[in-house]
Amino acid sequence: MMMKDMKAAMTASISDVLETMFYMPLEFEDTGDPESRGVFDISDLRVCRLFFKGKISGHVIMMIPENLLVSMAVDFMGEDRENIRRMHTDGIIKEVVNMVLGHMLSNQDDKNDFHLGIPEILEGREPVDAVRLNPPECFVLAESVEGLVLSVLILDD
Amino acid sequence: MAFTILVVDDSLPMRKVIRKTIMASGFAMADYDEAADGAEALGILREKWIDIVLTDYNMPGMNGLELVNQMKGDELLRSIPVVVITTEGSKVRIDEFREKGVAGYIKKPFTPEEIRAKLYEILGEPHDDEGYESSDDGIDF
Repeated sequence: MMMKDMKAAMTASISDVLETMFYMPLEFEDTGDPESRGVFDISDLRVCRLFFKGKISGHVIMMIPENLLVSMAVDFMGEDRENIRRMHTDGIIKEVVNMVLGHMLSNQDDKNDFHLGIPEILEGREPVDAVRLNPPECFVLAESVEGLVLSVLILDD
Repeated sequence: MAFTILVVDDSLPMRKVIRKTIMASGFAMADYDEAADGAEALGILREKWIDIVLTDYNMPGMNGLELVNQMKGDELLRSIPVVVITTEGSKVRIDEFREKGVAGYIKKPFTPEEIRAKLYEILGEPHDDEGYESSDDGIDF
């Protein structure tokens, strides 16, 4: 599958997941890139990675500011903002990555089996800098009222 | 008539949202329990009356299908219907669910209407809710 198709599939999946489960309207940046939009300079950026295996294999890295994750946790869990802890926002970003990737792969071809790993939080600036220094071919940049969501797809060679 | 539900998911936010979604759906829920893994779920199932189990598929340790296997091997638990909530909706995976005796599956992302329709499809709809028309969009085996 062409990278252009993969990007379209990931865009559709992010839209479905965030609008269905989080009631979060999004605008997708077709022309912008993460660097020019300042994504990598966001200080409270949280990063989550999920590997997958199947007809195609690779991993997805998703970056979402902590402040936006707190708002998502409030909506998702029905908790007050002051009750949201890091364990909750970590859980939210893991669920988002899991749903986006699973929804994307099963929508592409439901006859092909695939296996998802366990989502993992990547701490520190290193994972952010790694993506910044090696701009990915396939990424989706989505903008909500409260912040940017960057999703990167990296396929195995 | 109202039903007792056990939700099994290693993710606390997901357990909370499943509960919230079931409540928002208008499903007749008498009681709700939750477990963070299969072992905890089996403990609850052996102590309390549960009408239906909703379990995540992809969990560390004992996954959703391994939980179903354990339940099917237990005379007291084998008749309790299990619904798998999953992002992995490939035909191969769905066939695997069916072979293992899973009563149904719900694909993430899900809506309150989808959850309610699936639960009533398996458990039967209470008589005092006759005006409800179920919808199976995207959730049928």
